[in-house]
Amino acid sequence: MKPKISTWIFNPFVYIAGWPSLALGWAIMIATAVTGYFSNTHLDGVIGAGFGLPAPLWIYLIEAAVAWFSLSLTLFVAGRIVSKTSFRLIDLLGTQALARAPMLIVPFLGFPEAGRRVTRYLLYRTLGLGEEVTATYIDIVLFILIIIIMVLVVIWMIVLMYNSYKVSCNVKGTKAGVSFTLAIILAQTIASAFFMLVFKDIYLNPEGLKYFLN
Amino acid sequence: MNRNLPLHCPSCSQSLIVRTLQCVNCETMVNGHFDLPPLARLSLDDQQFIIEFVKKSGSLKEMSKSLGFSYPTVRNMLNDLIERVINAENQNSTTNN
Repeated sequence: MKPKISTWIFNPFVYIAGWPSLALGWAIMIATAVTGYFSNTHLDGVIGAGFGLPAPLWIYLIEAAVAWFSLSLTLFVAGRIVSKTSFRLIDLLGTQALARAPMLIVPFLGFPEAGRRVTRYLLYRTLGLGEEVTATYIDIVLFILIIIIMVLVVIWMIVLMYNSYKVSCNVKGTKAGVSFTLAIILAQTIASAFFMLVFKDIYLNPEGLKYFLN
Repeated sequence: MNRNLPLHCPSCSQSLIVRTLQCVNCETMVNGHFDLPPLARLSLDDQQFIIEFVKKSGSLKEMSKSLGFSYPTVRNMLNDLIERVINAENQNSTTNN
């Protein structure tokens, strides 16, 4: 059977899973973390990302690992409960790693200064946080474009994550949808709790960064 | 030309049975009521999958290589096939009763 392009884009796990998928997924995750390091883009959530403060490379790598592992873990538990058949953990770990591939686009969105400028502008205008900055129309257009691309990337990634779960754990229908949603909420909570407990100095206090840099 | 074995009645969609068997050599005909075996009730693709699976000594990894699909995809195909075999068996027992 000839592989379809749409299947490769939205459900490549029909063709690739297990160790090859894990190796490729990790390679892309590392590339994402390194790019994030240069553009100060933190992938500090299961499906989220943010343009933040500079940090050492290892923090970006840990963020990627925690985001990937927390969802793999909750989906593994969900799969064990919902699936009628047995499945291999390596398939879930591998396909979940590869499902994060679209995130490679996100750190590149952190390079244009326009995104940060509009964020600082909005924070100052709406919440009175930070210092006053001016944002041009071009900045705002770029900012909107960045948001649209980010939303599309996240949707694409969620579709991949869902298909990874369906293929790896052999779950279908409503059960698959409900258990996936619950697993992603739980994983997001676990990841957020981890990041806030371990990296709170970086996320909340710029001065705390010195602790990590030393 | 490959002719597919009809499994369901074109009129009422119920399962078909075999009424007549014929010797290809002397053309002797045997009439009766013979249920199709469960494997014959499966689609040609399913039958082909089973043949390949047996030829590969039941190795899903080998099946995965020859079909070009990932291991969990082939395993899921097998799980779906198991369900269809069970259904076919149940259909046979229902027809016999």
